[in-house]
Amino acid sequence: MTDFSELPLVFFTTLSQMAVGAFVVLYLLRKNDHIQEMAADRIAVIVVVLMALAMGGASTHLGDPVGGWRALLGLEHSWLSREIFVMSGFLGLAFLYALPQLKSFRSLAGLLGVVFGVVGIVVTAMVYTLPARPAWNSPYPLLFFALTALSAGPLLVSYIVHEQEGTICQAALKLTSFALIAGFIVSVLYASQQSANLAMPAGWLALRCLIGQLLPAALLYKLTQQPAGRNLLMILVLVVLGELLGRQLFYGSVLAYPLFPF
Amino acid sequence: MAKRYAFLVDTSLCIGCNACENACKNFYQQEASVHWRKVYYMQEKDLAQPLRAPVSLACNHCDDPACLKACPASAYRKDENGLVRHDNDRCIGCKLCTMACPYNVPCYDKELGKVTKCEMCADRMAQGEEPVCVASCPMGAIRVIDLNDPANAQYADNLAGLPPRDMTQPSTRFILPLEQKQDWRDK
Amino acid sequence: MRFDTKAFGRRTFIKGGLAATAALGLGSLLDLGSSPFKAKEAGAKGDAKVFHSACPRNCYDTCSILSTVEDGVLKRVEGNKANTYTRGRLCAKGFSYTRSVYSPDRIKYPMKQTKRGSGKWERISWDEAFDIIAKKILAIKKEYGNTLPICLDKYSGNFNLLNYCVEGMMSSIGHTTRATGTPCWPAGIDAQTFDFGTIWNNDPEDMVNSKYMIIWGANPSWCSVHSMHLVMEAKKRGCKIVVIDPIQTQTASKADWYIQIKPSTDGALALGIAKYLLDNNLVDYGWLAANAKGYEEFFQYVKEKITLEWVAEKTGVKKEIIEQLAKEYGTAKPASIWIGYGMQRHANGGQNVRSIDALAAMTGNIGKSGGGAQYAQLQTWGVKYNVMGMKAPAGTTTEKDRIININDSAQEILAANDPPIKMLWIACRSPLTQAAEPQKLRKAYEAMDLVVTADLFMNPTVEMSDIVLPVTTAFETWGLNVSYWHYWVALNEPAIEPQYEAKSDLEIAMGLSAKLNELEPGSCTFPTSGKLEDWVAAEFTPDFLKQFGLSRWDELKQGPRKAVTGLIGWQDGKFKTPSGKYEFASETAVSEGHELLPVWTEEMATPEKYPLRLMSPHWKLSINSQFQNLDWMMDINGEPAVEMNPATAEKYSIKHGDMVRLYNEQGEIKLQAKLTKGTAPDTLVVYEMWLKDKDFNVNNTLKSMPADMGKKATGAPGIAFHDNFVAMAKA
Repeated sequence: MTDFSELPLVFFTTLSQMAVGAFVVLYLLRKNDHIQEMAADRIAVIVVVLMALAMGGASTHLGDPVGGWRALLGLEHSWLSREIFVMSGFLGLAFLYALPQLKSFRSLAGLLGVVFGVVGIVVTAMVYTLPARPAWNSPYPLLFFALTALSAGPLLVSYIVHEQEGTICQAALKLTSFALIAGFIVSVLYASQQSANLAMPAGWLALRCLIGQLLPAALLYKLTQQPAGRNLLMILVLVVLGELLGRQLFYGSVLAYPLFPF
Repeated sequence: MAKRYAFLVDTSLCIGCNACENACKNFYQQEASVHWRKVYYMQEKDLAQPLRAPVSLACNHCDDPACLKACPASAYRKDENGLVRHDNDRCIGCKLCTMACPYNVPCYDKELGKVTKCEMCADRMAQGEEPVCVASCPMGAIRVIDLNDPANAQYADNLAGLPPRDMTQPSTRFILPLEQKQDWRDK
Repeated sequence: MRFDTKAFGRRTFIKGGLAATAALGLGSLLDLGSSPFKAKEAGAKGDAKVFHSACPRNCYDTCSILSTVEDGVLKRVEGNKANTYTRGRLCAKGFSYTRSVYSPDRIKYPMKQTKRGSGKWERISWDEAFDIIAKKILAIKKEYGNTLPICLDKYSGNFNLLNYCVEGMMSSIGHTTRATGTPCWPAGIDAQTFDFGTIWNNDPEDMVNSKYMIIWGANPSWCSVHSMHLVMEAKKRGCKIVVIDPIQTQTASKADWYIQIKPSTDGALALGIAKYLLDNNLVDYGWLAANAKGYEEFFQYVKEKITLEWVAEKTGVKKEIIEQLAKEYGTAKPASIWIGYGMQRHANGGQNVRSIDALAAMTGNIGKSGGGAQYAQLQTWGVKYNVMGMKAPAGTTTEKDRIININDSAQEILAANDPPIKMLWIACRSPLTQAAEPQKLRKAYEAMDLVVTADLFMNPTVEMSDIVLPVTTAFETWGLNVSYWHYWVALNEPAIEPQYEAKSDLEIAMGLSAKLNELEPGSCTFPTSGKLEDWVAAEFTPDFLKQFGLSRWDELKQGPRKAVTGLIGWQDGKFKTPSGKYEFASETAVSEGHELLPVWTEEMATPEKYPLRLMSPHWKLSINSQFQNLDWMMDINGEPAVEMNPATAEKYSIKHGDMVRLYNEQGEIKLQAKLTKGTAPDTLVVYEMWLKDKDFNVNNTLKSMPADMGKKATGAPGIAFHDNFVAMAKA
């Protein structure tokens, strides 16, 4: 937990997954005309900004950021190379989607963006399925990453829509609630099932589940009874904080394959 | 036939003195946290009898290197002579190989902003010299052998306490710890 | 005052008598200049220069080193292959030397501290440092009429022979108080002095000729790696290796046969073996008749008093094991025993060594290639000791130095009152990490007017000093080095300039003398100038040159040399005892207050309140207080730990990795538990070391309990490091 050397990756993965989640929800809602164009524009811009921040932040993780382009030299064998390729593609497509001049191509850019984003999350998960990290060499990275997208993404969209249009997007919030509860279950399962391969600080994990999953889920439940927009921002902040904390725990608690264990 | 080099670690001779580790650091003048070679100890539970059984490990120059597969910059290559080489100029310092290697071999050098690792002193080997660790071990417990020589099939290809071989197909071979007569105090 | 080699009389510090033996064809083995790492190596530039260095640590191996220097920077070190003992290899410590030389933690300038232990250091010039010290010396001399209130505490941190200049510096101001003796090996030296007349092991390179080898309480795997190679080489050639030790050391783990023994009962086991040898007629009566005195009395004692049942009870070694061991040792020829320094660090340690010596004599394994009761040698130490041959200045009123026991220095410093000790000079030593009763020692320091320490690093001893003087590493000065084990001599050339403002102890001595003579002409007889190389040259005597087959001293600039004579101890059968024979019955021992014969002497009883014996052997990454503080070492080992038997851990509900507290009425240490079956349930093992930035001192619970012997040969008894008893609790 105290090892923060992977902090750029914490931000990159969390923000990029949130952006993909938001983009997918945006695409679906827009396709069915559930939201107005203005809100859609705003969301698209935010997705692009989030992705740009995520990718820019990730490059600070490199010892040689200037040589970062060389990360595309390993497409043939390296999941990380593929991740960077696909996620760059997603960023590009989201950018095209957000460009006012290209509105006629929106549906195509949107569809391709959804495909790249979803594939991007799967590829990101593949980066971490390393035999040398037994806890990661499992379906958990994919579950965590997908649930980040499914919880924070729709929530972000709902918040913007509420800000822009004053409406509550119930379908999106239901998805978030579902993802938060699922995320809680997966977090607990991970910690218990992989306990031998993790140095998971129980207190931090409890905090992560409480502020990032249980509390927001409870607030969302309350929201369905009596809607109020202010709460939505607080819930969004809690969920994002929770996901960041969860991701820090993901990186900070994983143990290497034990050499000569006692 | 071409040679396929591998380290042979004689755990019946190794005294865990760490000379190999520091000889390597001395020759290449490395930071403290950079270990191209490192001494481990086998655990008593994995041994037939209590023993201090140290094992000196460097890069295992695997046949299926996890570092190579993880590297997005294609900085790694597996040479025909068995050596897994790392090209510093290509390395972008993403550190994924340090996570991917089950033997903790690639080391991130903060000063350099790059990962470095044991290359079996390829430059020395090319000049017909032994790697520094081999030349420096007071016991002669580390050797370089040719895996294409059938005579070297006699050596153990793994040790209790190390990951299963199929993870990366390591090339390092071992002579197992000796067995001895032991008479423990009866009171 | 000019440096003049003739001006100083010879002082026989150690009498390096040279027995004329040349059984092995030696002297032709020198392969000068070859090196495992060639200059064309990676990173080496065209202007790389290679210098001959010598490791000056208190270590069996005293390695010959080649130092590669580029642009005035020490780039790396390597072993010199010309030395057939070290074979071009170093140990983890030797290979870390660049980290020592260029450590950011080195003391860079003379400094003074406003208050001892405050950490408030202020950089001062060498002139100011010498001025403060010289004025204090002169003030003490004026107040007390002599220099006895000035005390020297120096030991083995730098065995460069030139470093005996520190003793010379003290002699040159008058008579002073000297911390005398050695914490290391004195009980065993006395034991062998009584038995043989002095210590004289066979050339360790001869060990490969043994057919049977008992390594008794020694751990060359960690403390003499190059000898461990020879042990395994002997094994390869068919020699059976037996290790007797209370701890399953790394060396024990490499033996054919490991026998665990109850600590401090080694003498009983030896007597059991003697009993079996006698009962089964495995005694070399021919050798005894020609070479030994008093064996009849000894045999009578063994026959009458020793039973194998008693020995088994005492030592924890089963009767049939004793019988097998005795039978094998008694029948294998030649057989050798390596007597470690660890086993003599007990209240009965010296007597135990005498009993083991007796086995080698009974079986006629003395004076033979492949045999011996191998302990140490001082045969190669016969230089002139010119650096310490200073006379007291004119007008000195005292007769001689005052001696205090180095192993009880806290008590003796505090007790000295006629005159009291007011000033302390510490060199080549860190008492506050290495000596017994550090708590009391701290008090003793607090009572001083001035504490001066010359050192490389800011360690707990320096922290309690008023003035610290930065010293050079071996790579920055001249030196001459021999071993107390192997038979090589190596010249140490300066490879680089002194770092920062560091000076060698010899330059410090000359500088201080200059200041004293400036303040009060004639107050110090130490030369005030002189080239260091000339000081080296002045150490050579004709005998010394002859011993190493040298015609001129500077032939050593070509590389290290091995003695050409005296490689097998006592081969001529001329023992240095009063009788000229091996003395089972030693009147000298009696006159020193010991037993006539190697009879059993009881070990120290375990106190009820402190039921666990805390042994504190040497650690592989350090030699006493040196090396473990360096970053490369801290990275390998950053935390102190205590090894304990799983049964003991269970009894105290301790798990592997738990923090535990070891304590007795004197003090405590806290450290991590490490479970291993390699130590017995009543024995804990904590390796002695000084770790950087860690509040850890294994001696916190150690009392100044003397070993039985040591006074005869070294001036003070040894210390029973391994009779340290503690209680344990979870921390």
